[in-house]
Amino acid sequence: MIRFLLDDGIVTLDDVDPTETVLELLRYRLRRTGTKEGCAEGDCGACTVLVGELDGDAVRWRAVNACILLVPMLHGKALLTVESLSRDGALHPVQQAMIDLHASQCGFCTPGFVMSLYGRAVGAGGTKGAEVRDVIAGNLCRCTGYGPILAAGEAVAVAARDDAATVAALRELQAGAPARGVHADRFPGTEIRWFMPNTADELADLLVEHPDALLVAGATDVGLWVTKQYRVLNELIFVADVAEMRHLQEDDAGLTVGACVRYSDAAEALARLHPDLAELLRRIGGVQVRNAGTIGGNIANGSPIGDMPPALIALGATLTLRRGPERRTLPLEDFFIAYGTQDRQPGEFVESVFIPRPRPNELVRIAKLSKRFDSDITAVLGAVALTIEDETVTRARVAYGGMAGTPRRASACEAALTGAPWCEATVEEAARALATDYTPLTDLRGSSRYRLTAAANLLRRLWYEQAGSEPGGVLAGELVDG
Amino acid sequence: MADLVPPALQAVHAKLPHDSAFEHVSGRARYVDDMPEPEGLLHLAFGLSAQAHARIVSMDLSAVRAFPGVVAVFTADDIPGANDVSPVAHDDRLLADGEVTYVGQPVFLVAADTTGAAVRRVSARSSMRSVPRS
Repeated sequence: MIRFLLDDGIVTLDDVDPTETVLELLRYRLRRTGTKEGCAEGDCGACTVLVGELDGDAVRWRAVNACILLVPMLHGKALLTVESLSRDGALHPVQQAMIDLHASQCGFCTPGFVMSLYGRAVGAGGTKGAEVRDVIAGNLCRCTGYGPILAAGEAVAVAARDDAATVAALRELQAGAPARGVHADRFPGTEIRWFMPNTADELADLLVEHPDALLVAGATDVGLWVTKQYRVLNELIFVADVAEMRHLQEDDAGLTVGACVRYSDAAEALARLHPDLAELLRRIGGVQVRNAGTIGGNIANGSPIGDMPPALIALGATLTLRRGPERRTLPLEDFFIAYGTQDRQPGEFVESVFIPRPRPNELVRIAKLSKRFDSDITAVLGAVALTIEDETVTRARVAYGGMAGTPRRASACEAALTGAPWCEATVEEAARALATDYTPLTDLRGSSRYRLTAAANLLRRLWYEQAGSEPGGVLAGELVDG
Repeated sequence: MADLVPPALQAVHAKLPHDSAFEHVSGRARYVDDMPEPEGLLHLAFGLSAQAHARIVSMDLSAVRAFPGVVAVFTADDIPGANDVSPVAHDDRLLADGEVTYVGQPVFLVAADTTGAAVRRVSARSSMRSVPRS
């Protein structure tokens, strides 16, 4: 059984199919059809809703994709849909601006844009200080060319919501035993067991008892296992709101990130570690994905094109895993064994990752290459951390994603750099060494030749930038004209 | 001079909002999938070929037919008229007949009383036995 707030009413669901998405719930059961299905995979944003959770005396709102949000993840939270904005007939300024500035044509994407821009207007997660075009990066429009939508976004001032009533209602919802259930699926004889532990100790016990259970954090990948792969998931443990796993600790040594910290919540601390991490985050999905997705989930997922691992490996990150009461810590690169296989024992879960703060004489460069600038899966992700002392490279950590079955360090490349003079010839040798480290495949995101060429050129570009040439391209954070 | 402009022409050079702008931004605009369904409405989904070029040796759709909520399952043999949905050249079958010629080609059609998502799940999980053409 789960309970959540929808506007000012509590919705109680007794029998929950934990693989039902919030989009399906809204459209087919609650008959709120304003929220649309455009892709059912977390790319187009037509399904954008706002989810609010209690944060002390306030509500922390986040825009998320309802199409890949699983219903149990609403438990104890507040939900706003496009219908919520004009319940008494009066339009919110965001909606009025979209009308006045001609920001809709066919109108199908419009509710999603309204919710993203409304999120910005109330200071929702991931939007503070962000440009309008970054706030809407997770919303696609085929008709308008985006100009009028950007104008509508700029036209609305930012002001916090009066959430007093929501805070009171959420407080009432918080009490209660941890949610769990057994759902009889339509497939004959199929049962889906699901759990939602409140604490890390509860999670640890549960996972030891149910070692085959699927851990679901932000569901930004698991959602697609349901909506696109039609996988039957028999046992789920929802971990995104386990409080201890959302802890972020920042000090001189570095950053300790609990496994369930959302990208958007870690963004400022990561930016303080290095600006390239901020730029990398900007390229991961859109605001909606970064509000749901977790750094620990991205690591545990083990994908060869996961965006965080190559960067964190280059920075020397270590991963802590927990099983029952026991913990172990290992270099992050050692967690990835082969495609689809990580060093996670039955009953074990990723608890946190520690990212060392780059040293003053450490040169760090992280670059994501993808066909689409926003909201696209990586083709090649290169990360380099070089310690240079007296014109000599004394330490080199180089890691790439999209070049092998897992994120991986480039040992031949590192060997060519380590102990060598910091000069163009060394960089050239290191760039060539990448062909020894990787034999990337060819797929729709890039051919093998493209990947090797681009990976090598990332190193060459690093040299040219350091040698004083003008940094070029959008990776410097600015769009280049012409 | 403005008073002499007939009402119909007053729209010229005027910034008029989209006729449906209010419905768009409020979520009230109704698209096909937003419309309430009559009781008993069935949803359809295709069973698709996983092979690029193969001869269909046999099809066992008994599990699909037996699935809760499935009302009917159609194959090419069930089509009463011409198995043809092409605009001009008579080169596009609704359902594959004896052989499949591309991955994703519709092979059978399921009608069920459940939502589209569940129907797609049913058809995706069914199996066909086929012999790849060399």
